[in-house]
Amino acid sequence: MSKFIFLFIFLFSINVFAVSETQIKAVFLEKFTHLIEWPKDNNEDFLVCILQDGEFSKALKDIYASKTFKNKKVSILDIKDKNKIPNCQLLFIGKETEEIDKVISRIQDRAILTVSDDNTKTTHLVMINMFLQKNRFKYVINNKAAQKSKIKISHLLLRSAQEVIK
Amino acid sequence: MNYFSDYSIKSKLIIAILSILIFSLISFATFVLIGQYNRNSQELLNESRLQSQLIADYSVTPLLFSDIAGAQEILKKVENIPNVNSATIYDDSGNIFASYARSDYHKNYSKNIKKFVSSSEQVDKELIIISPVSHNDQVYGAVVFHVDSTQVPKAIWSYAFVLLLGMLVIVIFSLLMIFRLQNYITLPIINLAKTAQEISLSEDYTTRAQKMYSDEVGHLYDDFNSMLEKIEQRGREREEAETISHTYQAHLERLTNELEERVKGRTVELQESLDRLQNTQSQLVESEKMSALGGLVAGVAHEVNTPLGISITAASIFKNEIKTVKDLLEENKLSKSALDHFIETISEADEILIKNLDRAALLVRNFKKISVDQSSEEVRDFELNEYLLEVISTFKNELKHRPVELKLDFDNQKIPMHSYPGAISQIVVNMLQNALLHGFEHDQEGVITLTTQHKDESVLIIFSDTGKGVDPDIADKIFEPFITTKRNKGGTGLGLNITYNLINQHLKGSIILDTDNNVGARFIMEIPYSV
Repeated sequence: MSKFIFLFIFLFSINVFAVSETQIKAVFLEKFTHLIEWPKDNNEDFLVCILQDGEFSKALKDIYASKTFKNKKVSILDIKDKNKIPNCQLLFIGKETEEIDKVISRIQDRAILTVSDDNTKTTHLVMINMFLQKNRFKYVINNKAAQKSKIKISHLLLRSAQEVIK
Repeated sequence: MNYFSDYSIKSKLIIAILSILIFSLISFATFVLIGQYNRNSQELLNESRLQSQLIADYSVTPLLFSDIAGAQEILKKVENIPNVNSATIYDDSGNIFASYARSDYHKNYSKNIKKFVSSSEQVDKELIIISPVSHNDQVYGAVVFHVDSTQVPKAIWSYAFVLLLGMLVIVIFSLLMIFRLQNYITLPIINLAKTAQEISLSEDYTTRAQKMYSDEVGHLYDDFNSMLEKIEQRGREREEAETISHTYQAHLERLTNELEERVKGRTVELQESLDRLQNTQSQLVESEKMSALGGLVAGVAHEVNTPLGISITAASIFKNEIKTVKDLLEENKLSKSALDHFIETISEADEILIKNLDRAALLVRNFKKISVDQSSEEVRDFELNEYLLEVISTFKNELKHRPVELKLDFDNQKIPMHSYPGAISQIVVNMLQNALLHGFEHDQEGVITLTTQHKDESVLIIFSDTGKGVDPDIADKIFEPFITTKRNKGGTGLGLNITYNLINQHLKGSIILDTDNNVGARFIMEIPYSV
């Protein structure tokens, strides 16, 4: 934990000297997994898929090169074809992605936590939509979608969410 | 406690009930307060722990997302929790992440914490509660509460104050009740005591206590009244008994008086009898004396008779010889040879005559001396052994006709006396007469021994004989008057009594019968040299 805080302080200090929002979001992405339970799977690694967001993918890869998510080795995978989503635990959908609703509807029954950082287009489609508002990190949770995918989001997370879609 | 003993029943009752009441109330209040204190303390602890855990729960996401503002917002909720002085959220390094303190709270608290386990401890007036911030076994930090625990005793004090007020009300109410109710208990007792006191003062046992209730005290009234009745009855009986007693006493007095009169009469009679008896006794003593004197006279007469008879014979020789010589002279036939024979015969006769007359004269002189002694009571000086010989010389005649020998065993030294010789002579004669009369049969042989011995300032005179001895039946009363075994043979029974009296009263000596002696009788007299 301390290393993240350290990083956080580091990132904020970077922010003072123009730390990128992407980097902050990349750090916090891992935090969500603390309070989220996936149904059992046989994957050895924790597969994080990134859809159409090279910058975020790079930030993640920089930070989590040899780290773990939920005690599992992290594999970060850039998805080229939005119609072919592999069996990843977490799918980060980039801002540039077209027809997000279609992507979501295709994987809505699979245990894939969908995360986005676009608070306008994707708010009610992905399970977690994170954003910075007045320099504070906020997120909206679509618990309905999570429940459909049998992903259990902790009440702690729900409680501190800016908005929860039930 | 002694002071308490002397209090009135009323006071005792009130004090006892109040003491018990107050003690019970205080005990009850103490238990309640202790219980309440413990309960309050536990409640405060539980509540604070719950709150801190809640805050810890809320703090997971702010810590997770390094959301200090969010943490501050959560800590703001603490404001609404009473008693919490401060709340601090620490990160997993033990550094302060966010904190809140009441505006009036300026206490320093530790900047860092090291342990992230749930705990609580009392420090000074604060309860410090640590609740770890964790989720799924992952610890993100801790929440530390500083809770003001002074509220517990404060609350207890106010609770105690309310209890005290309640107790006061109970005590006052109880006091009023006791004052009202105690009358039912004490009034009958006080009344009974009053009645008892009145009766004790007036001694009027006809008074009765008026019963109030039918409780134990009521029974006491009944018993008291029945006791009074008994006392009254007893009083009556005593009065009757006294009346009877007075009657009897008067009667008794009369009887006593009569008895006294009778005793007086009898005493006079007895006195007269005694006088007569004393007269008789003195007469008897006199007659005894006379009898002793008579014996003496008879002895002396007999003694004197012999020399006088010889003298008469000598005198008749004189007469015959003188007649013979006269006849021869008238016939002128008086020869020288006849005259020589006459002179020779006369001379012999004269010698016999003078000798016997001298003897008679001596006897008479002795008799005179002794009889004078016996009849006189004068004290004079004499030598005992010599005097005893003189007395015995007058007694020889009596021994002459008896086969009894009188042995004298006198002390070699002279025994000078200054005493009553008459008494001694009478004693000796009495003792010898007694020995002859009682000790031996008329023709019985035997020895009477008369012994004298010096002993200190006295002389011992011992009469012992080889006779029959003293009858054991009378041995212990032999010196009493009228004791004799020869009443019908001329004994008066006064001999030894007179002897005893003479020795004790006149001579200031003593006489005992030596009963250890096996043969005959043995009397030991001890007579002082000088009266």
